[in-house]
Amino acid sequence: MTQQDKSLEVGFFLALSDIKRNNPWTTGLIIFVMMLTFLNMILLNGILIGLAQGMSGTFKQFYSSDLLITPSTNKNVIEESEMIMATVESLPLYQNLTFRYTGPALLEYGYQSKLKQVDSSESVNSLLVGIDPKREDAVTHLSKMIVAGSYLEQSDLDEVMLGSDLITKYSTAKAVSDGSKILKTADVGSKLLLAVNGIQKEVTVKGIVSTNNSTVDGRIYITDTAARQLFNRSNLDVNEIAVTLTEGSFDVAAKEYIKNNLKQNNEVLIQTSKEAIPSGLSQMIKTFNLLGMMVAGIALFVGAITIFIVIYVNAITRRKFIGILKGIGITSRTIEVSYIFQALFYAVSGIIIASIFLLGFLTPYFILHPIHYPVGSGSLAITTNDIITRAIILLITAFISGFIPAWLVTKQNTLDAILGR
Amino acid sequence: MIEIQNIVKKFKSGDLETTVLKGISFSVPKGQFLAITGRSGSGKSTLLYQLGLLDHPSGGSIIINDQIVTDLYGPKRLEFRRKNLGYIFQDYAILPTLTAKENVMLPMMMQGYDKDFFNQKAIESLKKVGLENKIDNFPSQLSGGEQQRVGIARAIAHHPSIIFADEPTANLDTESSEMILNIFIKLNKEGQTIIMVTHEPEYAKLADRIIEISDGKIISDKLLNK
Repeated sequence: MTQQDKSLEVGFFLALSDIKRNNPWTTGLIIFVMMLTFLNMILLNGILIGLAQGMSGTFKQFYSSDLLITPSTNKNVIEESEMIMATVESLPLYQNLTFRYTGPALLEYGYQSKLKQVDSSESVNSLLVGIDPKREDAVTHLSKMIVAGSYLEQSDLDEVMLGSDLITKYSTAKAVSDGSKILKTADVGSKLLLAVNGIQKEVTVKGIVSTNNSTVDGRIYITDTAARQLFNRSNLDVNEIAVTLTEGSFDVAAKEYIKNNLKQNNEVLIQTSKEAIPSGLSQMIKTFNLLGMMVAGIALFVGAITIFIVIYVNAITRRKFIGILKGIGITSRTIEVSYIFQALFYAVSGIIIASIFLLGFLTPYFILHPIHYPVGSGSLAITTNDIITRAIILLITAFISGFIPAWLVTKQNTLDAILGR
Repeated sequence: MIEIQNIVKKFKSGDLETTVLKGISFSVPKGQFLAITGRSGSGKSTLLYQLGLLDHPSGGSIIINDQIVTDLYGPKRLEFRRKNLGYIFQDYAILPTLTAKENVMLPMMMQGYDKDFFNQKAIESLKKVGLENKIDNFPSQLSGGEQQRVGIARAIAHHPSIIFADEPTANLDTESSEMILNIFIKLNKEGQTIIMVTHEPEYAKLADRIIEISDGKIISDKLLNK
């Protein structure tokens, strides 16, 4: 057996003896610190990334789906919408699509009690969206997100469905809405006055939809038939088309297919859900991702310093014994290996306990209780790969942090170490 | 067996240079029990550190078993020390996290011996020093004399050519000290070469030969008739 093999074997033996005979409270405390370090590396980062994923997830799930087609910037509507929808439907990866008519509208509550035109009533300016309820539900599943009342039906001509951010009682974005107008007392069943392009119509609130996505929750929904009347649309050109592809489809390829099959003069913007995310939200997601990485980096640095201090203090206080070990013929390499094994033991124990806590408790907890924000809801985004990657990083850090202090102490003169000089 | 030629040891502290050993020469034949005595600060322990390869002399040479050990450095020096020398420290220097048996077998583990072999050797050594009933005790469960006997068992387990003992009884009571010295006498009778540093003249008289050092020089070298 080579000397190096002996270094490993004897180093492991020394490390094991030290760990077994150390004060169990001290060992427990070090492992606890390692556990916190690993949690710190993964938890806040996971929450921030989870929130970022939640934002983009709700945007895709309830609004854009896999592909979103909108008019190009110099157009108000998607021209030749029927032809475009036919092209989309010919896509091999096509599953569903929904189209939307959109336009600005004013919604007023309590207008019946106003004596004069200038008297104030509850009102809100928002985007009126005309949908085919069945098609919309097939793509965005909004019927499952009704928090009060019920979902629209195709026969509803005088009913509206409101996003939760338009009514105080259901709004999750109260702080954001401060200062802007919001319907304070209206509720399901309330009669509202809907004004579009000078046309006024009394409508009844049929349901409230809440998705935790500000785009969806800030809209007024009406059936496409009613919307076409209000917007006075004589043709079938729409403002938005959201497309769902079969699961696992490559959205960029689908986008290219549609683009290639459209006429040259079709001026539309075809975007994947990622591309369609508003720049503010996209910036927020990027910031969260960056913050997550920074937090993980700082946690790693703190963890490295912790291991270094623990091993260094251990090595320094046992300088005499390291001297004795060298004095009786134990190589410096063996002593270094012993301290590296100890550092790895603390790190591995911390990682195992933290992983059990993360996967067994925290992840299920966040799935059941996601964090709600005005821009979306997020849970803990942790994958096995994340855990493995961070565990490897922590182990490498533990290796280095265990080696350096041991190396610093073992390189001292043997006699000086034994005599405490 | 040991040839020491003109050993010099200097220490430097800033601009101040102190010569602790001033050209010491002597030889020790195989199987001799040599006591090195002298007053505190005379240089006797420093001399032992040079002979035991724990330190490197500033000048001169040391030859052990026909090998010029002053020319050895790094791993070769460590390996020579591990295979050929046994060292007993004044304050026992046994490891608190290891049992008596583990302390004894540790240096042999590094030499690549078979596990059964070093286990057996460790038990044999502990029997030799009368600790057969305490092989699994930790240092904290042993008296000072017993801890020093563990130190002796560790030094002799691998059958070194020479045992160096640095004031082995300095921290012990009379009874324990006599027990340690009896072990040395017994080992020496079995043919073991022992070089012991002591400041106790009575203990030195138990050796075959006494070298007295003062101010870094040998002032007397006596063979005792036994």
